[in-house]
Amino acid sequence: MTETVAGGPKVKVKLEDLSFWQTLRARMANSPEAGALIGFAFVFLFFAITTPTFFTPASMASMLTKQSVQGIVAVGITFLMIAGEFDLSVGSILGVAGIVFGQLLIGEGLFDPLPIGIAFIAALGSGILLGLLNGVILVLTRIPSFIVTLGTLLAYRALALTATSETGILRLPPELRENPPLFFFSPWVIAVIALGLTILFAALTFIFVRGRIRHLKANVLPLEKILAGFTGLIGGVITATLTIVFFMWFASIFLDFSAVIDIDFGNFNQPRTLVASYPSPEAIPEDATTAIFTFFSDGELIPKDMGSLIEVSAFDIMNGPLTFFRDAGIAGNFRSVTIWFLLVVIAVAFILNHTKYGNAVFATGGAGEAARAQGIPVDRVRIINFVVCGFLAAFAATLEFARQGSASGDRGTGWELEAIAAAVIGGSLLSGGYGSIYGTLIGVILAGMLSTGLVQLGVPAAGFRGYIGVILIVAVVINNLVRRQR
Amino acid sequence: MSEHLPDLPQDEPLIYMKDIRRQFGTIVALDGVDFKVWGGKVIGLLGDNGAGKSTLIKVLMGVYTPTSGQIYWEGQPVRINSPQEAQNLGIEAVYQDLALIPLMSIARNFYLGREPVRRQIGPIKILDQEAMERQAEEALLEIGIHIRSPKHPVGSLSGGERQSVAIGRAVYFGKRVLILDEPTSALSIGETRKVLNYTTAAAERGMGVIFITHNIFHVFEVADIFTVIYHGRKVGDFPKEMVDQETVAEMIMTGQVPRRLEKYAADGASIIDD
Repeated sequence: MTETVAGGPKVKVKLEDLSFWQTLRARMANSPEAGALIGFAFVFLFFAITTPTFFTPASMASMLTKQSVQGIVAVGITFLMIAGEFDLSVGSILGVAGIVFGQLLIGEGLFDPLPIGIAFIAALGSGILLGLLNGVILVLTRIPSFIVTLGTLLAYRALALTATSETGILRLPPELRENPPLFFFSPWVIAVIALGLTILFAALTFIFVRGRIRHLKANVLPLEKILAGFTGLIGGVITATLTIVFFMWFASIFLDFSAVIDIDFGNFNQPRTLVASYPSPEAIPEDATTAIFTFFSDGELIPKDMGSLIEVSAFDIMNGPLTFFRDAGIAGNFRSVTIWFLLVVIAVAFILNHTKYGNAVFATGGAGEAARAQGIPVDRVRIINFVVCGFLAAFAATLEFARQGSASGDRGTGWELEAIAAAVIGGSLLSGGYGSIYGTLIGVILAGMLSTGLVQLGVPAAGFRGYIGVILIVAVVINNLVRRQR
Repeated sequence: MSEHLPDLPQDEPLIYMKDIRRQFGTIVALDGVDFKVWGGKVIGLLGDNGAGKSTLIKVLMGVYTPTSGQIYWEGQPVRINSPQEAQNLGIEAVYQDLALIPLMSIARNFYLGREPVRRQIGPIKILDQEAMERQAEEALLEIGIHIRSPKHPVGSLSGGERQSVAIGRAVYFGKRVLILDEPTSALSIGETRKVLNYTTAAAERGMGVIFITHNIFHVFEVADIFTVIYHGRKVGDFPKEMVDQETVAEMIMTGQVPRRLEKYAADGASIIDD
C-alpha cells in the first residue's frame, strides 16, 4: 500500500499491508457507535414492519418522552465511563435532587415556597455536591469507583428516603399545578430559539453527511463504504428530520398552521399549550396545497400577532408538550424534554470529541498512568466527570418532577443499571478510554424502541428487560473484538 | 592517575543531580547519587534490576521528591514537583509501558496534554484537529518515522512503531533532554535498530539523552558516557572509549571498578586490581 503524505513535499512512503480485519478494526475503533447503529436499524425495521402502530408519531413521542430523562442520566454515566470510572449512585442522586427541588417549591410548613429558579439551582447544586463527594472519596481513598458509588448509592438513597419518611410523596399543591410559574416571552425570542435550533441541526446534518461522503470517497474497503453509506443515510435522515421539525416550529411562530393542515391522528390527550392564545383564524384555506400555494404566492396564510407576549409555564419549558407539532399536523405527545436531551447529547459529545478537555478524558480512562506521565491532571479529570455526572442526574430529576408534579424518595431506583446498559450497547467500554455519546443516544433509543415495540407486539412487558440483557451481552462481545487490539 | 585518560565533558551540564537520596520507609533506594547530563551526549544509565535507575529518573521527572539532595538545571538549583514541571523545563520521558494510550489515535496521542487550540470560548478549548493530524504526521516523518494514518489508534501499531511514535513525540516537544526508559526491551532486532537511530538523531540535534537499560548490548553503540548504578549508589561515569562491554557488564554485576578506571569512579566506590 502506498500513501501520499499530506503537506510539504509529496513523498511516497511504502508501508506494509494491513489485513482486511486489521483495517476494519482500526476504522471501527474510530466509531464506537457503528455496531449500535446497525442494531438500531435492525430493531427499527423489524418493528416497523411487524407492528403497524410502531412507527407512528404517537408511539414515537411517548417512547422519546420516556427515554429522554433516562438518556440524560446515561449521557452523564457515559462521560464518566470514558474517564474510566463508574457511578452507581446516579439513581440515588436523582432521588435526592428531585426531593430538594420539590421541597423547596412546596415549602410545606418549614419555610415559604421558593421561586422556581432558586429551587432549580439548589437541586442542580445538590447533584453537583453529591457527585463531588463521590469523586473526592475516590481520589482520596483509591478504592474502585464501583465500591465507592455502591456505598453512596445506599447512602444517598437512605438520605432521600429519610427526608420523605414523614411527608411521603411530595406533590405540587393544586394552586401551583394550575397556575405554574409563568414566563413571558416576546414571540421574537421564541423565534430566535427555534431558528437557533434549526441552524444547529442543519449544521449537524451538513457536517455529518459531508464527513460520510469524504469517507465514501476515500480509498477504503468495500465493507467500510457500505458502513459509511449506511450510517450516513440513517444519521443524515435523523438530523435532517429534526432540522425540518425545528424549522416548522420557527414557522409556526409566525403563521398559524393549525388552520391550514388539519390531519387528525386522534390519539393524544388535549395538552396544555406551550404557545397560548392564537388570534382566531378568519380566512381558512381549504387544504394544504392551497396553503402552500398561498404561502409562496402572496402570503395569505394567517400571520400571528407578533406584538403580544406569549406566556409559557416554567414546567412546560422543562418538560411540557410541544404543541407546535400538533399545529403542524403531527400527532403525539412530544415533549420539550427531548430537546433538552438532544442538547445535552450534542454539548457533551462536542466536549469529548472536539476539546482539549475531551482528550484528557479519553486519556485518563484509556491509560491513567500514561496520561499522568504526559502531564494530564487525571485526578482532577475524574472529579470533574463525577460532578458532571451528578449534575446531569439532578437535571434529569428536575425534568422528571416538571412532568410528574411530584417527587418521591425511591425515584430513580435501578436507573444506574439501565444507563450503564445503554452506554455499553452504544459502544462504550466498561474499562474506560473508549466510547461515544452518540452511541449512548442510540443505545437509549434502542432500549426505548424495544420496550415500545415488544408491548405493541403483544409480548408481556415483563420480558422486555430480558431482551435488553441479550442485546447488552451481544454488544459487549462485539466491543471485545474491537478491544483486542490493545 | 595517568594523563592520557580522556576527561568527561567540562562544559556546564544541562542537568546536575547532586547527592540525591531517596528512602521508601526504611528502604534506601538512592544513597547519595550524583548524576550529570550534557547536551548532545547520550548517557547510558546502567544498573541491574532494582539498582535504582528508575527511582533516579522518577526523581528527575518530579514523580518522586528526593529525601535529600539538589537538582541543578543549567547550573541553577530547581525543584521539580511534577511531570508537568519537568516538561516545562524541556525534559521528556518515554516510559517502557506507559508511553501512549492504545485506544486513542496517533495524532491525539502525539499532542496529548498540549493540543493546538483553534478557538477558546470561556474555559472550553476547541481542538484544531486538522492541524493535529497534519503536524503529527509531518513531525514524525521529519525524523524518519512513517505512519499509515494519524487517525489510526495506537493500539493497531506494533511495539516498535509505538516506541517510535513515543520517541518522535518526545523529540518533537522535548527541546532539551530526552529520557528513554528501557526503550528496546520488548522490540525485535530490526525495531531496536530503528529506535537506536532515533536516539542518535536526538543527540545530534543537541539534546541530552538518558538511555536507561540493563541490556548494555543495546546501549553500547549509541552511548557516549556510561553511568553505572549499583544498589542505590553510583559506581562511576565512564567515557565510552575507555571501556568495553565486558568491563561494563562486570561493573553492573559487582559494583567494583578496575584500578585503571579509578579516575572515573564515584567517591566511595570499591576499586579492585585488574
